[in-house]
Amino acid sequence: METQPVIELKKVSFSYDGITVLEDVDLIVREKDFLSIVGPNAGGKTTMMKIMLGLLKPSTGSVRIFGQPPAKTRSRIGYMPQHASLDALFPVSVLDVVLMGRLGNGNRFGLFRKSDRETAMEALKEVEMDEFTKRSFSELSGGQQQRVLIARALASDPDLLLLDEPTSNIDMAVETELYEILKQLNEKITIVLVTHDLGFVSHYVKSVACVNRRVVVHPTSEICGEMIHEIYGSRVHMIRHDDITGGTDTCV
Amino acid sequence: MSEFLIDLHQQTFLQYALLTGILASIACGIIGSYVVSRRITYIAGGIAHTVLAGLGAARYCQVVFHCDWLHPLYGAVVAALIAAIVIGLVSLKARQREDTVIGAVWAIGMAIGILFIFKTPGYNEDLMSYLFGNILMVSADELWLIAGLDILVVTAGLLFYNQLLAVCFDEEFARLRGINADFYYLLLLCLTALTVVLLVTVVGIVMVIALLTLPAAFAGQFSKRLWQMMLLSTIFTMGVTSSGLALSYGPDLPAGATTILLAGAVYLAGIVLSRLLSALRS
Repeated sequence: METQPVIELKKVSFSYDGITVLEDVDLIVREKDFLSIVGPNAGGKTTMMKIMLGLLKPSTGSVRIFGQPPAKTRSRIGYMPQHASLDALFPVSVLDVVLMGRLGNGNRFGLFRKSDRETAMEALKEVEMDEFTKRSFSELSGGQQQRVLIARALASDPDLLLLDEPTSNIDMAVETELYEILKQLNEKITIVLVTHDLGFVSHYVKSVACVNRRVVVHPTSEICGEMIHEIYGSRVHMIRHDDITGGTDTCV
Repeated sequence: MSEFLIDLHQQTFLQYALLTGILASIACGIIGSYVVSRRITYIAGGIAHTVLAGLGAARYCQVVFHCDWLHPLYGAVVAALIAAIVIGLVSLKARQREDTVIGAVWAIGMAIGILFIFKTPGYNEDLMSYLFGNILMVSADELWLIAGLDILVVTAGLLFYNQLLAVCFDEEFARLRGINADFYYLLLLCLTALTVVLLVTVVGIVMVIALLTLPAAFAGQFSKRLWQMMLLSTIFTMGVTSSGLALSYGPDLPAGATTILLAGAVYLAGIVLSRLLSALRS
């Protein structure tokens, strides 16, 4: 008998103001999978993630997360939103941000317990940001902020991690570090991430869902330049860090 | 200045005025910090101007229908809360029309207030004190009401600190963590409404927005965390309301306007200072 899928989308369609964003999407994500959702801008990637979170309701079709409607299983999902959606000047410390991941874990008045702080600290350790606890979130570099947001998602003790563009506005070296961290986390939890740089990510993820209104899922081994061409409909440079330790880049 | 200190010992109206300023400052520092970091200053402005409708209507009922218990401040509280909820619901349900609705609520509130004040028999000097504040007129009854509102706002603002912080910083994430984000957003707007009423007694409707935002914006430049911003901004507000009162008393200047000018001056000095600090660091 096969184990219950972590995410199951059946015949999901979504339209916004009469425009079809997603059409007839079938998707199954199994435990400990590492799925990357790729596709052109406005192709429906973020919409698909928000449907998984239950923030958007599909026009037709069904969504099951751990076999239940998303709203019921949210507490098992760790989510990292697109970086650009946050206010860069907000007065909040690194620990404050990560503690937000502990909200809704049974503490009524939102007072954090000692165990909440410990979990938050552990999450910060996982992303190697535990020395920055007291720093102001707005002072951090883009890559550091992304790691703090991943720690916030981890602080919820999730069984499923959903990341929306975790590598936007950070440089290649930092991106590599970030994916190494995710790869380690993937030993314990299922990860789904939205990204636009398919070529790079293919080195780390196990499968790729190509979203452009419709969804096609490939195992990573199938990814090649031609396929990218097919999804994006134009010539795209594919960069693959085949040898990370040596630091040589191979452009395909 | 010395005249102020001497009279402060003898005159209860001055003691009431000073106390009103200090009490309002606590709510102002806490809620102002939420308002500035969540960037809803414009909503606070809309709520502030609607207060005139409540003040005017209650005063009209007092004079015309002899409802003596209906103090204008009660009217202000009701009008501010209605405005907060209307604006809040619109901004939650129909975000794209938010600014239009705020503008409409703002102007309609003022229009209702002006009509009531115009139709209230007797002198219409009330209008001026509502618009520009008259902290020296605060009575013992009003002071009790102000203290009650202050305790309510400060308690709620601090009790739900973590939730409000999460909702202000990242509403979507808070929602996913099982926080009722809509409820806390409306709560924040209602607390803002009550704080606005407190501040109307200090500086008047027109200048509320300055006192709500300038101290918080000043404090924000030197704070790493929201509670530090609240603390600093509370101290700032206490400083300017008290010294505004003291400085205006001798030369018989309007206390509200003096307070706001002081706040503006300190805010500008703060910007220059923080620029200098960051220039020195780099």
